[in-house]
Amino acid sequence: MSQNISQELIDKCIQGQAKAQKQLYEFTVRQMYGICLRYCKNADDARDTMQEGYIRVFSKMKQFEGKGVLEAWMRRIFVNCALENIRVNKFYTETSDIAEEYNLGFENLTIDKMSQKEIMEIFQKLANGYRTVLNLFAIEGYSHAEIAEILGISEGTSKSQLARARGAFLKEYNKLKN
Amino acid sequence: MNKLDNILKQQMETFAPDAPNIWTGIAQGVQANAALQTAKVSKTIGSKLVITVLKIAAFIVIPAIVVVYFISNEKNNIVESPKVENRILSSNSNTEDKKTVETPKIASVNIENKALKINENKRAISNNNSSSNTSEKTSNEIFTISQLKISEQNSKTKSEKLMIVLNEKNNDNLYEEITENKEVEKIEENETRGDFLNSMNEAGIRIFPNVFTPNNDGIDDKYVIDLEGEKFYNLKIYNYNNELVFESEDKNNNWDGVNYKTGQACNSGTYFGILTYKLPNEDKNSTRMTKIKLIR
Repeated sequence: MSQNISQELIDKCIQGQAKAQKQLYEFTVRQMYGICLRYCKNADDARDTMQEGYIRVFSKMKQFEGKGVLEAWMRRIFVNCALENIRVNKFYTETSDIAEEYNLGFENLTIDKMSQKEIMEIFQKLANGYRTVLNLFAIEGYSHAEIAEILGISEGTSKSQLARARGAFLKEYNKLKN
Repeated sequence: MNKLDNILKQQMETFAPDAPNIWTGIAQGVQANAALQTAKVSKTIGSKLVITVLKIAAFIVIPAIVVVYFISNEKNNIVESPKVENRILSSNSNTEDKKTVETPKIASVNIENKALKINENKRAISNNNSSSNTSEKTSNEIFTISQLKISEQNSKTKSEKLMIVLNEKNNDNLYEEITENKEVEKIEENETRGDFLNSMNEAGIRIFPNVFTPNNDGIDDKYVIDLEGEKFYNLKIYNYNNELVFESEDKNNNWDGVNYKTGQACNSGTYFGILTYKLPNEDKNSTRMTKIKLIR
């Protein structure tokens, strides 16, 4: 993907040339849709999020100014879009009282390999809060401090939510396999 | 690093499934967004211009109004004095002939001259009247007096007319001032309502209402756009954080003030409506926007 995006193309996109923007869209759409699907509950939400994300990317492209990799910059925007759409904070307050049962036993469960399809299947069954924290911490690689800042929660909450999310994931995995 | 996290990262970081083609939606959104931004910029520039123009206009208009007001007051004073005199004259002339002959002196120069001419006859008439003798001479003299009366009345009406004309002139001035003020008010009104509403009207589209109150009182509960014979219709309504709160491709599906994603009622405030449409006589889509004020 990256090698296809030349500085020329970026400049044209900044100028607002629709042809260049379409080209950029075609280069990146699969990756970005992947991000949207990971965060959203279903395909419809992902589609909406993706549309919003691209609109935001093209209208804010002047702010990019060649800082870092365009792909990473775009990813950040799409993640933010997705987070806004699922209103994470609300779900955290709703799910924070769920019992610690998820933590028990499943940590020792061994997973050798999972397909993307399986992971997505489980992700879509998870509560928004758990899915979000797994996405941010495991896949995006943010630290707890960063997650706390992004979601507007405390670092401790982020840590406990991650532990619960892992437990929830493993529980769903267990259901799937058996 | 947790094993699960590792698996997730390895598998999902490169997750790139087949995506649905939503380019047309994105292109429209980008176009509308760009238009919105330019509209915002032009609006700020436009409003600044309007404010400066208004300031300059105020500096010119306010002293002008003051000056015109004082001048008109002076004119009124000038005109009022003969009017009062004339009234005294007319009332006197009705009661006493003697005074009617004398009073025109004050009334106007023409009458004064005439009065001087028949000044000698005056006493004779009064004598004759008092003695109640009727002769040709006196009758003639009476005739002249009646003529004089008429001329006096004419002069009175003339002066009245002059006064009326002057008053009318003053009124005109005042009217002009009032209309000027009204124009200023209109400009201010347009400024607060948002400039791009007008462009909407130019295109023959009536946006109704700009302010709408979705409180189920039967009045302006829905945001209705009057558009006829369109080939394409897409209405998007954004809140100030650029979040889409409503979208419709059916013009009969009107916004009722509810966020269509969350189902929550939108708060009072300003919203941006972006309308993409295609009229029968047009080749390509047009995008227009308006500000919508939601009041609950």
